[in-house]
Amino acid sequence: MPVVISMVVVAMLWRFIYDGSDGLLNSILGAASFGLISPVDWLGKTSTALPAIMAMSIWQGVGFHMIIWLSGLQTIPTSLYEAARVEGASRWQTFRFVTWPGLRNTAILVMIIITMQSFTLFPQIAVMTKGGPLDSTQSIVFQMVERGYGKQDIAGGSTISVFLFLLVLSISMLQRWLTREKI
Amino acid sequence: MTPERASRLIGRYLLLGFIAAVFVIPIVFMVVSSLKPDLQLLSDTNSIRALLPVGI
Repeated sequence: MPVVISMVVVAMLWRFIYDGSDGLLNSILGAASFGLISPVDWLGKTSTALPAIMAMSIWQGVGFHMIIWLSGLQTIPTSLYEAARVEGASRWQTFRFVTWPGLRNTAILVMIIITMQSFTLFPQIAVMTKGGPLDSTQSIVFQMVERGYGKQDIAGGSTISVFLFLLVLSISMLQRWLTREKI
Repeated sequence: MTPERASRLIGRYLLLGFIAAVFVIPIVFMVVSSLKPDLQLLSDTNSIRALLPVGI
């Protein structure tokens, strides 16, 4: 369900949840630990700001990738599982030799999509931390927008966007080459 | 059902329930908070009222 919510809305929601003084997360952790865990300013500390944004991004996007993995699982023939059961394979062996090889194409697709999406990290940072605290949550796209619109350095912002394009393209091509069919 | 199977089943449902709660609680908080004025919203986050549409 979080997948269908706009990332900007999710970022604003989690800004309330992560709030250091009145945040829902601190309240839940305090109640669950009977006061042992003291409130943490999740977005105000350099050590927790980026992990907090990562957790929120994972929370928002996991449903989408779950659907992709599920559809990949359904393409694996059940006859392979029956053969593995007849051969006496354990659950780990079944996963390692039947399920995981059958999910190869799905894994490649998810890996490439996730890598490309990770480079476009912007709404979460713009809404929650604005690159801070102390530049601990800077991203390439945020730098590009800050430089292009914030500092009116259009040339600098354009340069960053070109480098971003080349970076994502080269990493995607490298991933495609590393995951090619080896005959 | 053997006690071992029952305990494994309970453990599995507890884990799934915890994961479901992680995904549902923020959305419930969002919907409930949209029905409250700002001051009440901020004061309610320290209790279970954060997830309840009380005081409308």
